[in-house]
Amino acid sequence: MRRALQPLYRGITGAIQSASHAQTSGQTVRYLTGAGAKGVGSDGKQDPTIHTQKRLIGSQALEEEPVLSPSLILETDLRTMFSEIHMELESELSKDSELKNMATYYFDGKGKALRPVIALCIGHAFNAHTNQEKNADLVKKQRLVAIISEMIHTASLIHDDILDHAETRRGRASVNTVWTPAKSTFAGDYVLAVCSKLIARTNNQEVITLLSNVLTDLVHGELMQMQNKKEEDERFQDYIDKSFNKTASLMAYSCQANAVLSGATKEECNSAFKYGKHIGISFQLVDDLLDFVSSADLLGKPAAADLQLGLATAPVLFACKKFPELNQLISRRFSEPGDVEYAYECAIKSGLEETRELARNHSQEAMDNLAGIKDSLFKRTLAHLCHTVTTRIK
Amino acid sequence: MLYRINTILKLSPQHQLIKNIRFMGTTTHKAASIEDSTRIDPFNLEEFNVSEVVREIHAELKKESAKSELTELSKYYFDGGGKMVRPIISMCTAHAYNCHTNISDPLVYQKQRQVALISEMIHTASLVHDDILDRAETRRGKQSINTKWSLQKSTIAGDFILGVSSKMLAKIDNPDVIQILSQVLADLVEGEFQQLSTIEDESERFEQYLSKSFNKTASLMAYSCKANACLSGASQQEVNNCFQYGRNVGISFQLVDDLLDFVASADQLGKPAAGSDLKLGLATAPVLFAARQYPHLNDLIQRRFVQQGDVEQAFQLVVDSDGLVKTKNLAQKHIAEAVKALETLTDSKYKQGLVTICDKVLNRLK
Repeated sequence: MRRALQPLYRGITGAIQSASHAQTSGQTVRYLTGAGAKGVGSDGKQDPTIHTQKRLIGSQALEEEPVLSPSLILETDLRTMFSEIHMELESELSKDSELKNMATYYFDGKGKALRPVIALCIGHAFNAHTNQEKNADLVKKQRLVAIISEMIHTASLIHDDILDHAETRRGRASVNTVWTPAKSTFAGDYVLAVCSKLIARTNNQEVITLLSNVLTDLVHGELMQMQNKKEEDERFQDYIDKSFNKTASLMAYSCQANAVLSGATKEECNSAFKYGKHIGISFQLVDDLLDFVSSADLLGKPAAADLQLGLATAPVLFACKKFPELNQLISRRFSEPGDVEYAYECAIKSGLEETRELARNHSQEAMDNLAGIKDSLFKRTLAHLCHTVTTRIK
Repeated sequence: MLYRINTILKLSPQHQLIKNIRFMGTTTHKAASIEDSTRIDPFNLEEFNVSEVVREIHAELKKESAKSELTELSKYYFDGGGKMVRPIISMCTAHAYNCHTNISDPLVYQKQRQVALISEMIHTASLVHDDILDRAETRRGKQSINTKWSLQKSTIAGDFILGVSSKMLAKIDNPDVIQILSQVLADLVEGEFQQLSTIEDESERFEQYLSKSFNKTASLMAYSCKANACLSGASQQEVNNCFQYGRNVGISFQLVDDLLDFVASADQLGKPAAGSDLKLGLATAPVLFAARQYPHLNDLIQRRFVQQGDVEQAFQLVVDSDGLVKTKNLAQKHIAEAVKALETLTDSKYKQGLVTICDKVLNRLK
């Protein structure tokens, strides 16, 4: 049965691979501004993923406009970000302190830095909308919010790895493996403490309140993940809520914070929140999808890890429709021998397409929320981000 | 009180030691006489309403926990069984400085009360993570949180308490206060790491110990006092004095704690005693002082008392040396500094209360 399905998911991974190859290779800019923008790949053939991008941009009537890679546009912003984070973490610690090494361990510049990228793009896009692009002070604060979002995220990764007994992350040993889990807990606390100081430094009450919501959401998400909703029909909503708490909340609030700083109206700030929320959920859906189709080397962490941790994510939940017996396996968190393998097969057979479709819908929803925002390079970049999030392979 | 001490004193040489140390002399106050200050006992003041503190913390946690398991988990250490020293110092400081700056705005006091709650929550969150790190089995006479629930759940319980306290902190609507209290968590973590490491250089050890004591214990008191002085609208100098009060009381508190680890019995403390710091590999003030008299102790300190007989040998050397007396003297010195920091503060019953606190910290039995 597996063999018969190979062409199907080779097709999916193939599409993912060709899009990401374009993005990760040095040819990104040329590819997209030239033939790529019209839906044709650099090899001259029609590429389905570029067509999708075009559709997204088309809804904004921007299909003729070139879209640039965020990491290029934000190069200046991002280049110094990690050294700034190091500086903040190290400022009060002695040179050889173990705490310093632990706290800075995951800030190696090798992560995707997606959250700061999103926060910065929203900041710049909304500044263009409210005509505040030249306000250096404002840009500085928005940058601070971006840094904070990356730090909160990383602190939660540290605690996550402890809770999941993870052994690797981003292709190297996890912090709790190099040091002890108990010490790592404190390292995570330290990063949060420094974050808290930075949040205060924004000196804006609304921003402070918004960002302070994230921590409790993260904890709720973690707890929800540990438990199973008993009612089967509540499971999917529960999964989406958990995805909001664990992933999208941080993006949503940092987007809203940066919109607030730009002086946008309340409604516009809510739109920023929704952009962050939907792109975050899309991101999580693709993450859960990749857990089934990607290989461990590419991901930098073990693949099919969710099932092994007893977690039922979108591909499995979708597969329940065709394979209702999966519900029992979900209830017992795939604890019996053969459970993981069976669930894996079912998800591969019938859960992946729907997951990808849902991710695309959320990405679209994210972009639709920015319809009222003035056009700018950064707004177009935000659209491109929506596309990248749904088509990435790691 | 005296009768109780005497009944204990019949028991052993260690307890004889307690008598000697206790009656070495209480602090001399310039600000108020001893009889005056004992009239105002902040630990019994109705208006501080310490049981209310616990109830309010429970309410905040419950509000955020949405009827999940987090409610029970996070409330576990807020059982009214703690000493509540921190909230009391916090609130007494608030009142004292409000009298000084003549503030009577109830909104200000509301915020200061929140500072007291938040400080207690940050402290407790770190206790939760502490117990995980130390693999503690008991705390305050009951099962530790990490023994009763899984390590995972205890970790997120600590995170949850921190998360709720950060929301409460945001509501205070004062970036200075947020900056001040954020430093506390950073210090707590740094202190924990300092405790885990052993300094090679013997001459630096005492400094490291004091720095760790600040980070682990005094920082919270110092910064919450500072935050409350800030909210009362005091001048920069006065805010700094308030910080010094909290800092010195905190260091003294830790010194007495470390002293009691050698002399008090387990039932009184509610946690394992008589050398429990030694058993954890920790060299505290009594040991560090004793090492000056018995340099051989330095080897044991370096290896964190892991070898057979180390704990017993170190314990005996400490009791034989002047380590305990010197620790008490140092605690007294810090209390004198704390009282001095209050000199320029307007007289009020709360200022006297702050002095009483100094007395109690110095002379407590547990």
